[in-house]
Amino acid sequence: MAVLNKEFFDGNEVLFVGYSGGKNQSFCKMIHDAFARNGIKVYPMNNKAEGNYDLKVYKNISELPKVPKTAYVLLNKENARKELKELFENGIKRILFHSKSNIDDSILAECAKMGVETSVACPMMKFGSGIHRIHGFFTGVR
Amino acid sequence: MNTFPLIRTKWTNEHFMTAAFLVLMLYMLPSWIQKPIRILEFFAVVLVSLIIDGVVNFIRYRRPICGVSAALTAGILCILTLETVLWIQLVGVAVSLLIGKHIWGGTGKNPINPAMTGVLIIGLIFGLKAVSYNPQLLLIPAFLLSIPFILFRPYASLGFMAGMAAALVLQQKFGFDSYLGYGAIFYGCLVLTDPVTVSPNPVLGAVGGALAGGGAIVLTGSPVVMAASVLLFNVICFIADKYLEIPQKKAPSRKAVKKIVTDGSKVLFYDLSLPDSEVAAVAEITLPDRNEILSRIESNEVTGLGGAAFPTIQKIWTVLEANEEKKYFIINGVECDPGLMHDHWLINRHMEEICTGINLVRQCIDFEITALAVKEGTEIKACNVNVVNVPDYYPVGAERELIRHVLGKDLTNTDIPAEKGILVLNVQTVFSIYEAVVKNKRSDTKLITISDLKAKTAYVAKVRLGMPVQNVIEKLPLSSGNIFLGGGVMQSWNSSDDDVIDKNVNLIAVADFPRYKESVQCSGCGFCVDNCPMGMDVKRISQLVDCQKTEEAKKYQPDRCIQCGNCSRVCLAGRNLALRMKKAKAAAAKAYT
Repeated sequence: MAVLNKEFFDGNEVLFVGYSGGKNQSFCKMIHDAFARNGIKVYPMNNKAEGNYDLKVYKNISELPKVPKTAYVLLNKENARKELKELFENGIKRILFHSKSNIDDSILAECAKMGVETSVACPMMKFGSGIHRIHGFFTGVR
Repeated sequence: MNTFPLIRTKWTNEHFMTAAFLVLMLYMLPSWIQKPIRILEFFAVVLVSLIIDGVVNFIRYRRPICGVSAALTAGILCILTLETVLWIQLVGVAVSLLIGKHIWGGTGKNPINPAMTGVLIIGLIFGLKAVSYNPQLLLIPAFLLSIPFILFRPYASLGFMAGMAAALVLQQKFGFDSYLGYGAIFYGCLVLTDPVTVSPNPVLGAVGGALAGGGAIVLTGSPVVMAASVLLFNVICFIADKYLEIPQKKAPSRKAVKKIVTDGSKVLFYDLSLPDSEVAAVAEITLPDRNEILSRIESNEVTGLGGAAFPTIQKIWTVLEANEEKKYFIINGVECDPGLMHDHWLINRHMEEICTGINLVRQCIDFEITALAVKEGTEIKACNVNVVNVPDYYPVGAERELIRHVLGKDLTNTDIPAEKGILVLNVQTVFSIYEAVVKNKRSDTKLITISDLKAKTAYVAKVRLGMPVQNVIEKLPLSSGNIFLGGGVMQSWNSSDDDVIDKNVNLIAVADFPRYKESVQCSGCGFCVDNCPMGMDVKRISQLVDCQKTEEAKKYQPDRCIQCGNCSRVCLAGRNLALRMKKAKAAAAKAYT
């Protein structure tokens, strides 16, 4: 599994798959902000992008002005598995999954089979501050 | 995409409730020193309150919600049931939260004070000993730190304390000790200031508060009677607010919003527009006649550069054709948005050109009054027009606000100023008229402010309309972060890759997303109403929008909203209220068409 650092985000940009428009929107915005503060451009995507958003959220990859090489996936296992095929087809080379509860061995194996590098961590552990960094320290994200 | 102010208050309901909770602990201090076991009892009651509140909130909202309001309820209950055994206090706090709060829909929706509900119920069932707040030295910090909370509901709070004092005087029992001993400061500053359950209406607050305080003292003044009295007052407030709909007669707000980047800081100017290749060879013209002036304004496509982007020629024709005896010309140099500085920069460096532009417009229309409006304290170089200093508040630069200040005329929201013979143009538009007429230059550039809110710096830049925003950003030394565009810092939106500079863009800002946490717990503090420049009932309108009742919201005239964003800026619940007002306004406009 790849080490989570800024180099993981090739070209300093990331596709944020599963940017929520519902009750998790403030959390998603916090992650978006943390990426942006570190100079990483974020392309938020949600295929049910009908929420009340404060930023431009793309419905699918074809809408994107440019497809980044790295994706950050904030979806449950089932949805993450469904999304993989589209990500592979569109040239995603690295995927950051939010947490271990969002993946299983078969997802990681599928990524490895397609030559896609993976990492599992909340981006706040690396790019956030305060308690998030402490969390990162204890989980090995430094 | 949503628009929102990039700046907002750092304070939240939770901050104030935490402060109130700390003050409550100071009230407990003497008893804790006397019996240290009470510290454990106090925190046991608080812990139980947090558990009950947390569980109920999780069931209701499917996510964790801050429980400081429950801790506050527990704190008040502990103070008023000091001599009661722990298990009764635990029953009391459960009753308070379930019957006094959650049965009504949770924090912010309860019409009655939860702590008072608990005190009344356990008092009636188990009986309570009276609590005395003797003015001992240890209580002085608690008394002093309670006083600032009066600001939340000043009329009810002062009315309550005055009512208590009057009742004690009538009973010939008044004395400093007895007044404090009955809890005048405690109830007046910490209970009667609960914005959720007490009306902000001055008359209802003062009279109701006085009757509640006075009545409770006349009827023994015990905690149970006090609780009953406060709850009765809460019910009256609720009925008045909900069913009688006593209007919240608020004067429109006239509060200043501090500039983000101080005027005294060094302002760097960048000309990012392309070379002026389109400036005609025959640049200078002398004494253009009216038709020539109007023709050049039209052919060079001058539009309003204050944000509305309305074609200036149409505005001028409307004023020309207006069936008004007297016509007025106001040049808006106020720049009230706290994030903008380019108009000020323009006035400081190009006043002569602005004056020429003003005179060109005056050659087209015979104005009774021409006035250049600037903020108080702004120094203007000599110019042959009246300079009117308007008060420094946001949004004094809004068209109707400015007309009211300069001409003393109140226009309704359906009145169009130009049709009333009033021409209002932004200084940059006037400068653009000068360039269009004298230099025969197309109006395709504009000055904007580029703010780096992280580094607290700002630049004035001349940009060409249609330029990609990314191209502008790349040329300036800005921090990395989210890019926002807007008519000003109070009306911004997040920029996307394909955005270009258009006539609505006055600001490009690099900033973190402002923290709109959209809390479900509105405390009803009324700051949105207090800060509305139109004196609108923002609280009621936004509550109706949240309940999908935009039709019902029409009776509060949401179409008067000027989308200044002040309500979002001050909301302690972190709600983007301006967005709700926009929805209500759109629904109202749809109904009219």
